[in-house]
Amino acid sequence: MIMQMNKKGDIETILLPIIALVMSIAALFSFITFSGGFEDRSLEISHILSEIEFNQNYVIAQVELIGNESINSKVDFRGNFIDVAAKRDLKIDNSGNFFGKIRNGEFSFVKNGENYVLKVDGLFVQAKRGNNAIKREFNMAITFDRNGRAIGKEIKPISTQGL
Amino acid sequence: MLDKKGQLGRIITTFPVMLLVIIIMGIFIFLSFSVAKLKPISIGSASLKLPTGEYSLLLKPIEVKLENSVKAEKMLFFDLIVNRELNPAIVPSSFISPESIEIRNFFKEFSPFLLAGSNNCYGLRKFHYGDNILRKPQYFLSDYYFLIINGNSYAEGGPDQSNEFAKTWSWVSFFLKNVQGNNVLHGVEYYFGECELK
Repeated sequence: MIMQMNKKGDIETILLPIIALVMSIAALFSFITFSGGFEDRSLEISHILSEIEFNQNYVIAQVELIGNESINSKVDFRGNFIDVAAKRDLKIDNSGNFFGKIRNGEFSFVKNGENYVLKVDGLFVQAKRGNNAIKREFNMAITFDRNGRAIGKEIKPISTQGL
Repeated sequence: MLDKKGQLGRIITTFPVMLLVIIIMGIFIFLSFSVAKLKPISIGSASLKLPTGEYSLLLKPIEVKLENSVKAEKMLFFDLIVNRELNPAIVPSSFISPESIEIRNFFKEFSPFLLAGSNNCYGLRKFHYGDNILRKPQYFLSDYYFLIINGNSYAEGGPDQSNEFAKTWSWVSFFLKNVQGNNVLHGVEYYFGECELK
C-alpha cells in the first residue's frame, strides 16, 4: 500500500511546476521587453569617441589657424600667438586646457631651418554623454612653413580614460 | 521513513510532474527562438556612419566679414556656429546656408565620395536643451542650417522625410551659459552620406 504523503510534501510538488512556469514567463517577458539596450549604449559610446576625436581635431585646427595668422603677422610670434588665441577663445569645453596653456605661455616655438615648430605638451580634451565621460591626454607638435602653412603634425597620445 | 513500496510510489507520482516541467521548458525554448526570429538584430546608426571626415566641414576655416569687424577674418566653421549662438545679430544664418560659397566648395570636394550611393542626404542643424532644471531637459531644434536630399536643398525645417533619418545624425556638443549663469547644452547635428527615405 502506497504511503500517503503529508500536506507539506504535496505543496512542494505542486509549487515545482508553478515556479517553473512563472520563471519561464519572466524570462520570456525580459526577452520581449529588451529593446536593444546594448545598441543605445554602444551608440552613446560611439558618440563620445567621435566627439573626443572631434575635440582633439578642433584643438589642432585652432593651432593651425592661429599659427598661420601669427607667422604671417611677421612680428613677435609668441606674443602674437597668445593674443590671437585669447581673441579666439570662445570659453567652451571642447578646447580642453589648450587656451589655458597658451594663456600661461606653456608652449615652445622653435625655428627649424626654414620652418617653425610649435610644441604644446600635456594637452587634454574631454567628451561627455549622459553619465559617461572620456578624457584624452596628448602632446602636440605642429610644423609650419615660412608662409604659416601647417606642413606636418605629430600627435603623441598619452592616455585615454573614462571618468 | 518510506518503505520500498512507498519510495516506488513517490517516484511514480514525481514522474508526471517532471514531464510537465520538461514540457514547459520545451515550450519556453521554442518561444525564445520564435521571439528571437521575430526581433531581428538591427544595425545601429553608429555602424552606418561614414568612417572619417564627416565632421570635417565643422573644422574647415571659413572667411567671414562680421558686421562689427573692419576686415574679413578666418574662423572655424564650428566657431562660426558658436558665435552665432552668442550673437545672432553679427552672424547671419546666410553664412551657414547652402548658398554660402564655402559650403558649396565643401560639397564639391566631398561629392565624389558621397555620390557613391543612390540616396544622399547632407544636413546640418543646431539644437539646445531646455534649461528648466525642474523638468527633464527638453530638446529644441533651434537652427536648421541646411538639408540637402539628392541634390535638392530644403529651407528651414526641411520636408517630413528629414525625421526619417534623424536617428542617424551625429552631433558634437558645447556648453554655453544662459542669462541665469547656468550651463546649457548645445549641439551641432550633422549627417553626410547615404540615407534611407521612406
